[in-house]
Order: sequence, then structure tokens, then C-alpha cells
Amino acid sequence: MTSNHWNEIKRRTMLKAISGGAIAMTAPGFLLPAKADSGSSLLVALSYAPKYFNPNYTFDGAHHYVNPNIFNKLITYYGEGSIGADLASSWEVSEDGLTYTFKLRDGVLWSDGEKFSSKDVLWTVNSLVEEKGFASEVLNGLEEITAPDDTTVVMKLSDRNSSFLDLLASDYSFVILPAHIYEGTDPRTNPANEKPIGTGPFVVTNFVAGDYIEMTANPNFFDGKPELEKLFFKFYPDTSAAVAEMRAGNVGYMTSTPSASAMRQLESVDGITVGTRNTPPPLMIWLGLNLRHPILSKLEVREALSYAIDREQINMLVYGGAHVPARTSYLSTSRAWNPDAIQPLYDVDKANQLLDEAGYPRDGNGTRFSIRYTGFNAGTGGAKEIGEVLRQQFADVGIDLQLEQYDFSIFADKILKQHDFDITWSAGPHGPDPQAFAAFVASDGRRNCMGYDNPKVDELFAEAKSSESDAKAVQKYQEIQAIIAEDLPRISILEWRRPVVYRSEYANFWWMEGFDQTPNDSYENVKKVES
Amino acid sequence: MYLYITRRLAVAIPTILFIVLLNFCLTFFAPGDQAFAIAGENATPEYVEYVRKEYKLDAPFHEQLLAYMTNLAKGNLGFSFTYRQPVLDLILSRMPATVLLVIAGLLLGAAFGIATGAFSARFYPSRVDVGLNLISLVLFCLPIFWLGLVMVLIFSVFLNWTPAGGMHSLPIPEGFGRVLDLGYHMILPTITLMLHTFPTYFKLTRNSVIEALNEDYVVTARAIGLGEKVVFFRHCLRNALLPNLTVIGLTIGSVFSGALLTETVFSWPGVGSLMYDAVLQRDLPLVMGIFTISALCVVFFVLVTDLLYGFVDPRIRHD
Repeated sequence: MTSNHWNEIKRRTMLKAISGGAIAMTAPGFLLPAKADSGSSLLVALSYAPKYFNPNYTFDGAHHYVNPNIFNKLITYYGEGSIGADLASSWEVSEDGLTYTFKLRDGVLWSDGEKFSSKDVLWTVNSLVEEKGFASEVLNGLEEITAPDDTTVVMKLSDRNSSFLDLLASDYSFVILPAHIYEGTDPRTNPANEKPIGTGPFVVTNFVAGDYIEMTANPNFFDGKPELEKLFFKFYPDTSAAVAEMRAGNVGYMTSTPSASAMRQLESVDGITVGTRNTPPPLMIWLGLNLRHPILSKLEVREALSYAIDREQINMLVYGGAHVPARTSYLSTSRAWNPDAIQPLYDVDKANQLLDEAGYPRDGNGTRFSIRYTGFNAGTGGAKEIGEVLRQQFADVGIDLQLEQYDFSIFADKILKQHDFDITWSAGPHGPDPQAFAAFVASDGRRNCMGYDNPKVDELFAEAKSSESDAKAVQKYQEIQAIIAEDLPRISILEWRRPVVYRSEYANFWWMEGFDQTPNDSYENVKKVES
Repeated sequence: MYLYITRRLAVAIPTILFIVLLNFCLTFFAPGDQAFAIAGENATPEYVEYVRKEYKLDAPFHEQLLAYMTNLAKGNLGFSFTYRQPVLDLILSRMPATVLLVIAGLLLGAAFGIATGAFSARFYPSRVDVGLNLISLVLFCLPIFWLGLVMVLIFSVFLNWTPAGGMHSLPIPEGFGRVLDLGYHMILPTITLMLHTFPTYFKLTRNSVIEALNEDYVVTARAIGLGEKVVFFRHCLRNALLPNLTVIGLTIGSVFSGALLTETVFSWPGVGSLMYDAVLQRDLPLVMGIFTISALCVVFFVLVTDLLYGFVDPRIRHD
């Protein structure tokens, strides 16, 4: 009896295995058509998941990847940083620079069918100021806003501000929200924050916070119905998983940049295109020198450091040549760029000479002094590797560089608050608004970790802000750059070029020639071409 | 028996309190200014201060701790800064995905491990046994995220047999297609988890069975004339399964904190990836909530395992 039982078990297990295997083999058959049926849809991989859709009141770093497809601002950045029309079709500035008149597009509809008008703009701005929302910062200096008619909005400033339009166009500016949905409610908890009503090219049809977003083309979009029928955003916590999905054909575009080694691999993969785009905000990698440190407070030492750095080598070794070595404090793409304000460039002999003159001779081991480099793991990657290359380069001039690496979340505390560093890695947006640089070198600049305090520079920034013309403002900014190149509180290393990866069957992205008259991060023109 | 249960319960409660206190201290004293992290790097100093006040981040330690404990007692785990939703709701909404994945992986790994371990012990010593031991050792040493990524590379990218991540395709299919789609997406992560949990049960079972096979009662059973299969299954294996029960019990509690690495590699929207995101964004209420829930689950399941053990193994009962 025992042996029969055993045979019975064997037979049953066999049957189960066979039937299981049979089903498993047919499963792909059920699902492959679903995969191939992507038709006119695009799946975008996000490395940062948005949790709700209202960017005006609270900060969420992922908003600007998604929101241009649902909402519109008054004006926005196109292509590499030119200011373009969004809901405002044209605008005028008064002679005294205090009154901005925006003419709004006519015939725009909200996704629920209601008509868009100036009262939506009015409500959005007033609510923002009242609630002291995150985006209200761009409206500093706004005295009053009026709407003389349905398609006109007038903003009055208390002082001239040459950066006002840039502020309105930036990624961190406010979007126009529907007054008829939000009026009378608490805008921070209104359910429309999860099921938004907007004027953009797509409408959100499905949303699981922190996981994915499903959007459908808006047939009533003021610039014409988008080519794509469906737009999906999915959160991939790990970039390599997103890369794998792209290679497998599911993900069409990635908002983040894969590592340099992954990029090299991807260049040779069929069906994937690798390129670069220079959309705002322009980023620069730089080193902040703590001016409170006794050695770094000496100008000769700072100059020597700049002479000791081979930026070209850093670019090649760490990034495979993907970026551009920086020579100036502003990026070369800035509209206020001063091409003559060049920081000391690679010259080992000059560096050695300066350090000798500064009173730091080499000791028996060839070392002059020891100093710390602090790197951070951030979105703009490579800080650790840069430190390693710098260590070699500084050893050539007798400086012993001690490396330490931290998570970016403590950057604000350690660097900006406690100033606990000698030389720190840093990055951050450097524009397109030339006034943005004040954050780094103005005495009250938010990211002025170096302790740089130069009243002349502060004065120049203020004068640039209240300049009567763009040309005069540019002049002031160029003077600032000349001063910084001499004082060297910070050393620029690389201008960041954003590599971009997408599947070759998609075209007409917003940074491409011929399509750069659309808001950045908006997929309204993207279409799938038959390859 | 009742004394046994009561004693176990009595120990569990101070354990839970201590864990909550420890969690709170760990997240409270983590370096970095929380208000900055929430406000974002482009915020004005005024906005940062506003955030600090709104979330009461400047209250002294004992005040914050007391507030947290009181809320916890009421079942309120706080409000997530980044999601702007109650923490408990968030965790519960992500639980099913995690439980599904990890239980499947755990059960398959355990079943497979036990079966193979018993098989290996049966033929000890032999080349088959040595071979299986080697495989088990290799699997034990492989980091799970590496294993996951390699599987994605081979089966998704090169062979195109399975999706590379996620829990479902977009758009989500209707009806029965949805179940199939889920199964399709579960294949790789489950196999990865299975391969990862397999070695523990394999080794444990193998060693227990080998030990059991050398016991006196086995000699007696064979002497009486019982068939080899009865001796093996009804006597040896039953005893050898006991340590496995302990391990399963200890592991099941941690199921609810999610297999963080697996979920990250496969973009599986469960509690693990929720925790990963929360830690990166310094969303303290969410982080503390997840830690607390995980700790509670572990304590609960260890308790259940203890009690179950008492049931299953009479020798423990008269402790």
C-alpha cells in the first residue's frame, strides 16, 4: 500500500508540473499583445515620484517633470532658456519697469469644460500671496494685480526687477489653477490636488501616489490635440531598473541620467538614442572654499588651488568627456556671460610658486599642508570621483587632500548652517536668470557657504536688479564675474551638459530643433514614429 | 500552558514600548535639518521657518516624544509630510503588494529549501549532496540586489521573456487579464526572493535530517521493520521541521517591512520602496510609522511562533 501511495504522489506531482508548465507557456501569449499594443503611448521613467499635483503651495522636487503636461504658467522657458508664451500670449513692460501687462490667450478651456479667464490668474496669485505658498517667493515685490478684462492681467511691482519675467518662467514658479474649483476651499487639501483640472495638453485619468500616473490627451488643448494618445509616468527608485526597462522596450524616455558607464553601454544599443540637451536650469559643478579657514583665507592659496586643477582631466576621467570644463563663474551659455572673466587655469608650476610665496613650503615628505574635501551624493553625480581625481592633482603641488563623502540630505545642515568644511563640492542652478548667481556670492546669499562678503558685489547685484535696460544689467553682471574671477571664493569646475536617453521610435521632444517653441518637459509634440 | 502564554505576552509589551522609543530616538537624532529637507533647496529662509513651525519641528525632544506616544496609543501614526496623507493609510495601502510578493517568495523558498534539504540529507554523503551544498553556499553569498539585476538583464533585456519591473503593465488590463498580468510581473521578483531564502532552509533541514537519521529511535524503527519512507517522512522529517518553523516565524514578521532591496530593484510598489523613498526625503512621520509597524509585526509573529512551538513540541510546554 505504501508503494502505491508513493506512485500516486509521483503521478499527481507530474500532472501538476505539466499543467503548470503548459499554462506558464501560454501566459506570454495572453500578455504579449498587450505589450505590443502600446500604440501611441509613451512611458516616462521618473526617479522621483510626485505625490500630488499642486506645486504652488508646497515644494516637491518632481513637479516640474510632470506638471507642464497638466497645467500652464503665464510664461515659461523654451529650449535653452528663452522666455516664451504659455497662457500669456504676449506681454509688455512699462517705461518705469513697474507695470507688467500680460495679454492672455483667448478661447482656452479647462479640462472640465469651463472657460479660462483672467479671474483664474487673479485668484491664483492672490491665494498664493495670502497662503504664503512656496511659489509666492517669485512674487516678492508685487504691489497689486488687476484684471481689467477677461484676457488681460496687469501686475504692478513696487521696485524695478529685471529678473521678474525669469522668476515667473522658472520651474519653481506657480501654475495657473482653476478659480472655480479652488475658490472658497483650502487649496492645500482640495481633492483637485490629486485629480487635477488644468489647461495643459494632457488630463490625468489615473494616479497612484508614489507609483504611477496615467494621462490621456486633451482634445481641447489650446495648441491642438497632442499626437500621443496616452502618457504614462512611472516611478523607478533604481535607475538601472529603468535602463533595463528601456532596453526591453517598455520605457520610452528617462528623466534622470544613468551613470556614465551605463551611458557608454546604451550608446551602442539598437533602438536607443543618446543625446544632450541644455534645458534650464543650467547647472555647474563648483568648489566652495571656506574663507574662514586660515589657509584658504589667503588669496594666493586660492589662486594656487585653481591653477592646480586640471578640469579637462576631471571631465575625461569622471564623466568620459560628457561635460564642458568651466573657465568662468557663469556658464558660457548665460546671456550675461563675461568671456574675459577667466579663473586661473591649469598650471602646476604657477601653483607651486604661489604656494611657496604664500609661506607654505614643502616638508620632508613633500607636503605643504593637509585640507579636507567634502563630497555629497546628489542628483548631479560624481562628487566622490571628482574628489579622488583632485587628490591626485593636489598631490602634485604638495597638498594632502583628505576626502569625506556624505548623503546630500545633510548638505544644508553641515555646509550651509554649520560651515563644517574646508573645500566642499557643490552644484545647483546657475540661471537662466543672471541674478540667480547672487545666491552663491551675495553676502546674504542662501548658498553662500564660503562666507564671502563683498559690498561691491552686493551693490552690483542690486543695481543689476533695478537696471533700466537689459544691456545695463548685463554690464553689471559682467563686472561681478570679473570680481569673482579675481577674489576666487569659489572655483568653477564643469558646466553640466544633460545627457538624455530615449527610445529611437519617439521624436519631437521639446529640446529638439524645430520643436523648441514648447514649454520644457511638455510632451505635447512628442510622437511615435514607425521605425 | 497558560503560564507559558502569559509569560510570553508579558515580555512582548515592554519590548514594543522599547522599540517605539528606540525608533523615535533614531529618527529624531538623525543628522540633517528636517525643515530644509522638506522645504527643498530653493526655498527662502522664510519658507523654511514656516515649514518648521507648521510641523512643530522646533519643539523639544520630550514634547515631541510624548505627542508621538499619545497619538500612537490612539492608533494615529501621524501625517506624512511628502504625501500629505495619514501614515497608517499609506502603509496599509502598500501592504498587499509587499505581502503578496514576500509571502510567495518566502513560501516557495522554504518549500523548495526543505524539499531539497531533505533530499540532500537522504543521500549524504554523496556528490549530489556536495553539489547542492555548493549551490546553496553561492546563493547565500550573492547579494540580492545583484541577483535581481542579473535576472532582469538575462530574462528581460536579453531574452525578453518577462517585464523588467513594476507590478502591472500600463495601461492596466481588465478582468482576468489583470490577474495574469500580475502573475507575469511577479515571476522574476518571486524567483529572486526564492533563490535568496532557499539556502537557509536547505542547510537547516539538511543538518536536522542528518542529525535525526543518527538518532536511536531511527535504529529502533528500522529494527522493528518499518519501511524506509515511513522512517524518513513520519519520524525524521517531522522533527527536522521544527527549527524551520522557528526561522519561518522569525522571518514572517519582517515580511511586512518589505523586501526593500528587491522592491527597489524591481520597482515593486510596496512598503519597502515606500520606506526607501521616505528615508531619502526625510519624511520622518512616514519613516517612524513604517519602523513601528514592522517592529510590531515582528514582535507579534515571534510571539505566535513561540506559542505555536509550544503546541507543536510538547517538550517546550512544560517550561
